[in-house]
Amino acid sequence: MNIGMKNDISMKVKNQNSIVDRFLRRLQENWRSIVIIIPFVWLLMFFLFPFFIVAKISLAEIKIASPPFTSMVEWADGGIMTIRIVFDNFLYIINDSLYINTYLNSVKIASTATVISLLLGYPIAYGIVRSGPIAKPILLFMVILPFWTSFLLRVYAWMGLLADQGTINSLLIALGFINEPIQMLYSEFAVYIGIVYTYLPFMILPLYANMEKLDSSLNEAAADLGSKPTNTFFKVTLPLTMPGVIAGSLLVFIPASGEYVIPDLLGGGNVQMIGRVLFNEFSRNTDWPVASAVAIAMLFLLVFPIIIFQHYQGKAAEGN
Amino acid sequence: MYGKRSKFLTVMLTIGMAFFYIPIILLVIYSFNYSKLVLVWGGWSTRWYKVLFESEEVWAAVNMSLKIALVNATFATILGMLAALSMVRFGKFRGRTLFGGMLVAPLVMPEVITGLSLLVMFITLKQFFGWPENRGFATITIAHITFSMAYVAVTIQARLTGMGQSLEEAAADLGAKPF
Repeated sequence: MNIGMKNDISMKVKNQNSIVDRFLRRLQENWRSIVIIIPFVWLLMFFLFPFFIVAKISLAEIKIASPPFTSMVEWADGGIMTIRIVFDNFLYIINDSLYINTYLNSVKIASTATVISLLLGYPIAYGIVRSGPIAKPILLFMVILPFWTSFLLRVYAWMGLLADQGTINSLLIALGFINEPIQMLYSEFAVYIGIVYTYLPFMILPLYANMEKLDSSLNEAAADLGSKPTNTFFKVTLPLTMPGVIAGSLLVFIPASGEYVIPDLLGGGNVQMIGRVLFNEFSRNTDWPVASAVAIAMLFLLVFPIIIFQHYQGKAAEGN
Repeated sequence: MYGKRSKFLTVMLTIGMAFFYIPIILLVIYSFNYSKLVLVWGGWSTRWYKVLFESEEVWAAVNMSLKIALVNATFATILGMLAALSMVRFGKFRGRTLFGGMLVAPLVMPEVITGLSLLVMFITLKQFFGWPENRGFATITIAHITFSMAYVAVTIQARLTGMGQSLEEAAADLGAKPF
């Protein structure tokens, strides 16, 4: 800053530079901080700051008003400021078994879906890496392409497939395997399908990025030394792709645990997940303080996996 | 690592691609269904496409979506690029850990939480400053930019790391200014 000011003064003394020149000079000198500040301020304003407001509301009480909660700071007569903080909302969600059970159910569904995605995604990613130079970019493109269609449309497509009069049931009845339709839609099964279908590319892509950088001569060396393919896989390939496995798993698990749309559309009222409870609390019950407390509690539980993800995401991209 | 794709991997690839594309293909087929009921087949027809193209509501919605997408893509790319540059090229700076955390968190954070907190913030802002008057184009675009810049930043970050610094150094040696 000092240097910039000195330059400014010297420029004034010389009085030769136009304002535009001076601005450009400034930009050249401080461009690094400007580059950082713009996205930094954006994220502070529209990502971090909203959470503070949610945290504030979680410490308020419900009130029939607009907005529907009590304010934290109040001015009594004579200019006395009172600050009101209540932890009732947090006690409420801890003591009411609905929230704990729903949360545990979400974690169960998300982790099972993560394991299924890993078991499917790992061989798919490995298959793409092992493909020839023509097939590889096509296959990779085919994994990314579903992203270009609307997420909602893809969920609706599954509703059509899984419904009682849907494609799968009609097909099974027509082929004579079953007489009555099997209920698949509005069940946990449908939610699993929806989550795996939506998040599988998120598992495949970091795994692919990681595997692509593996040195195949390591596998050859293991084979030369008499290692069987299965043994080589567990002793060489799998440990080297662990960063990809962890990054991919977290990329599936974290958003899946808070998923709202999939359990709402494919699970109906039969599958309780915390994201759905959170939104119902907010919109249907208009209990903002409890909804905020649920959101803050979820955030605290997710911070740790997010930090691990940030660590491994970098590692998977570098491939070491 | 070309070649040597075992049968097992080929089978898994086929299953995976079928899983990805069967629902999408079925959706396309059903769009040509004459029947009003989604799940009852009433023969091939382009009836619904006619309805679609004649509906003013649909065109207004398409128009709005495209506008939001265009503004979102422009700003998210600029912000994401600046963020990626800061993370990869500037070494350590104050708040780098916080910055990096905020940058990747929208990638994984459940959308209900981010969406809800933005909604609450916009309502609070309106209460204090009278802005935003109504939630609509501006608020949707702001929320989308915040989500999307994470994707931009992660992609560009990976490229910048892979590219190495030698080209930029060479340019600087030859007297090029950063811009």
